[in-house]
Amino acid sequence: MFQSPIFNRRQTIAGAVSIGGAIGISQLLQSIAAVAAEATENDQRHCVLLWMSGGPSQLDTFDMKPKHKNGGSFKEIATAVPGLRFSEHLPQLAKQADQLAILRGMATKEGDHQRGTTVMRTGHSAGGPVRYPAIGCSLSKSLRNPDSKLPHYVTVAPGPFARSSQSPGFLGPKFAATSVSVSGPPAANNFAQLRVDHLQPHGFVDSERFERRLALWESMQASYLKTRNAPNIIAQDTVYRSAIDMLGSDAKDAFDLSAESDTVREAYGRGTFGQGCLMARRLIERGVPLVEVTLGDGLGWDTHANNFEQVQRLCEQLDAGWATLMTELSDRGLLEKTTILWAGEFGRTPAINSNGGRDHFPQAFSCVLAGGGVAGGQAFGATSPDGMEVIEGKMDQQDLLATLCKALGVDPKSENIAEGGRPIAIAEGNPIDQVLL
Amino acid sequence: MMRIVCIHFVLTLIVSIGSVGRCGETTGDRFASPSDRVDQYLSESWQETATRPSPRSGDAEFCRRAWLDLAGVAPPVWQLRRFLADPSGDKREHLIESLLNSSRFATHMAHRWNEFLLPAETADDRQVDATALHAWLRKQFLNNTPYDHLVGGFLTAGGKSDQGPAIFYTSRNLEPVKLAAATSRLFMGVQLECAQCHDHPFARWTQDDFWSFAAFFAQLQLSETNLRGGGQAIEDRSGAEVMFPDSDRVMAPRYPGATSPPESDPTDFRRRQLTIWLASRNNPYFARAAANRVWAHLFGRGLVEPVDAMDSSNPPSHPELLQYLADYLVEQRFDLRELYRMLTRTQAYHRTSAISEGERPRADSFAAMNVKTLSASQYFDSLSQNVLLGRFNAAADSPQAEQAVRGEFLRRMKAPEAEPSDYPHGVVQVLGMMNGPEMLVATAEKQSGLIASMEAPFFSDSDRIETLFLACLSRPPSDTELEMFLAHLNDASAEQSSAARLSDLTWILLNTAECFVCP
Repeated sequence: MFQSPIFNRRQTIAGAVSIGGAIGISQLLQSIAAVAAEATENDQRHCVLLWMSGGPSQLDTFDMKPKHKNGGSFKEIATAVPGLRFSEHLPQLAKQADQLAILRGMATKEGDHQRGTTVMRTGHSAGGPVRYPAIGCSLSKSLRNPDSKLPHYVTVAPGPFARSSQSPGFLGPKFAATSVSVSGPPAANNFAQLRVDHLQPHGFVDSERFERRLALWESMQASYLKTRNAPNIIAQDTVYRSAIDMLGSDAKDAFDLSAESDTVREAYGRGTFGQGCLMARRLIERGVPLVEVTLGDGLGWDTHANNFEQVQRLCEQLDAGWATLMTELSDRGLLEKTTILWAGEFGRTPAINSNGGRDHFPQAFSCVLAGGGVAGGQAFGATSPDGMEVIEGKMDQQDLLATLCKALGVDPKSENIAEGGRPIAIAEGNPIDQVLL
Repeated sequence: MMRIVCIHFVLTLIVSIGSVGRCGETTGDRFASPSDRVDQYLSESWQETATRPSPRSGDAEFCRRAWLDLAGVAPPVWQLRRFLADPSGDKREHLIESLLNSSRFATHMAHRWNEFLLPAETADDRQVDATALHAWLRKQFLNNTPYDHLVGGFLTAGGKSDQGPAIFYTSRNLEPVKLAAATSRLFMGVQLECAQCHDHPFARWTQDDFWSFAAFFAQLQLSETNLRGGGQAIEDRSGAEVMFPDSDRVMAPRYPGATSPPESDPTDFRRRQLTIWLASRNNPYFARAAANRVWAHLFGRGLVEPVDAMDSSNPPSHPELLQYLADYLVEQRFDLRELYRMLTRTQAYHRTSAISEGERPRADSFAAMNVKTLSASQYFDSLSQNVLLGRFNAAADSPQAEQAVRGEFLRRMKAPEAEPSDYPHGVVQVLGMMNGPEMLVATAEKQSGLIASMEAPFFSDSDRIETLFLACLSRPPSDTELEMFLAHLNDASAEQSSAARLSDLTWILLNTAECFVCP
């Protein structure tokens, strides 16, 4: 019988505990530490996509222009890295600036939400004959651990356009994201309720009975697949088997945030984004390669009016969730294996409109890379003093995605086969080596 | 009428060569036995690749297919039994005929078009308007309104009497750009909006084409009349214009690809101006897009796939066949039901989707039927009709209880842009399938309508198993399956009531891949 690496680790821990009495508690702690180290020594890499739905304002976050009239009302603050300055509303991230590489020279051609979202997540414009997969799908395919009982790609509270822009495209449904949504209003303790429902068979079906059901189900599936091995049938079977695997394992506990103390939950922030970042940490601890967390219920960053009020509120959530995630991953030795990308579909206009808002601006905006494989503590690229154009280090979505791949140790040129046998690279751009370790 | 196929298109039509080549034939010859003609086009394409078509499907497979395609629901068990027992040779034609003429067909078509017409992210609070659209569409399909009239009515709708289509416009905030994009996708099968910011990368559209097309929607406004029931109506008022981006250039309305402006409208009602060309045989894209959608509905993928990317870079799998279907639709004066009738009489539509030997033919060869994933509503409505049997909420037995669970199921399983050739669901949705509330009611011994109905003492175990198969999979069990299921019913090693055993069997069938597809 095949044994999963997780199972092996558990056995080792159990062994250590049983001899713990004889060898003394300090040795026991040492051996647990050793086991933990072994657990993290595997090559599993992780990626967290922090998606800012609506298009976040670069001028009020990571590319401040306090001396120019376009700069707006926010002040900038110093960070842990001399010379690198963020918005006053990102104080916790400022302390971890040595982990962040700010990419200030991003530019794309899409200023529409839906198409911009597709461009940023797939690298390609929508509408061509090739159904390009979202980067999360391609990366989770490259990074996945085939023995894991958990999904390879989990997305928390995805925003609008998720189906078109988060689609696995020609990779097929096997690589689709598993979506966790908010189930109902916040609980009495005010934490956003993120849940995966229906994680238990119906009450009257005990595990023995469930097993008997599955045995007969298996033979029905096998005989249908024999004559109908079409992609949708194969996909149904694959997804069912993943779900059944998950039901039968402890891995599903990853989704149970009530197992965390209120102090920890509070640190991440009570909203969907904060709790989503906490779930990301739990999933990464259990080996999930790719987690995406969206900030901005609907198109929250689409701040055409009252930009500053809204951005401040969003930044508070962003700062708490993201910074706590990095701290906790770092405590567990997982940050160096986890690459984080912060991005939205585009940036906002430097000029402030008559409603105190900023409009869509794909010509010059910022994205941020952090964590594993990333040479943090720097800003790469620059915009003009008024923020209207990129004057240094200009890059597009393909360069961004290629850089992300390389940070994760995935060759961006590695190819997947599209419909019609056409090989397609994960990302076609040039990785920015200056921000890579 | 005789020269329809020779109409001189103002636009360059990529695929018109095939039809022009046959202009010498009389219309009568060309459309004499259209179903055979379709099969001929297909079999010619198989010769080149030495593809072997699959044999004719069995009656049960065909019955499930026809019901799910045309009525949107699996056959009711008694209808299926009657169909299987019917010895007459033309029973399939009769079945198609009765389904096409039933109100279920109109309802199902309205449902499909509702999904096409509304943006995927339509907010839940727009239900009043979505229902109005459904009712409007259903009426058109009940009356078998010709497709050009239907689209024309849709595109010129305004005021209180035409409340239904309003949501198409309001859900896109009356924005000319979004409406131009949606209209070109839906009714022309092309993605004109790719030319919004730059000339189209794959097709011949220019940025000017897009913006002058958008100008047809420049004058939309919300009507000030408040409608009862909270719905909204729209109207056109002159004044507003569309500007070319980053310029002061006012865009005059113009048909895509045309060099001169359209004939002026007496009241400058621009959407009527648009309709005169768009929903007509003079628009070469219109009939092709419609025919391709009908084909995709019945055969699981379009002759051009995706159906809204009919660009020069994405050629049809069978160009001549597609042109023939478009010409046929024009010849039939845009009678959609007639196109459905003709296509469901082809041999291709009657082929089995099972391949017992050798490799499965390519999906775009149509040499075997493609298995189509059911939509969430097809699955739920079949479950409701054949398994739940109205027993939804034993405590508070009311139609509302079932509607609420149906709504919740559809929300959970929503996959608006999914193709029938995809299985669009992930682990979370599958957990809901296996352990969710509708499955609970379908399989809990005390609640399941189907299980309760089989308690009658005059049923043998074999009868019960057969009924389960007919209800869940629309076919009787094979000998092997019957044997396996009987063994489960009589397994002495497990301490279970017979109802609990039936519950297991129901759960198993409802979670098989077979139960999720139209075969």
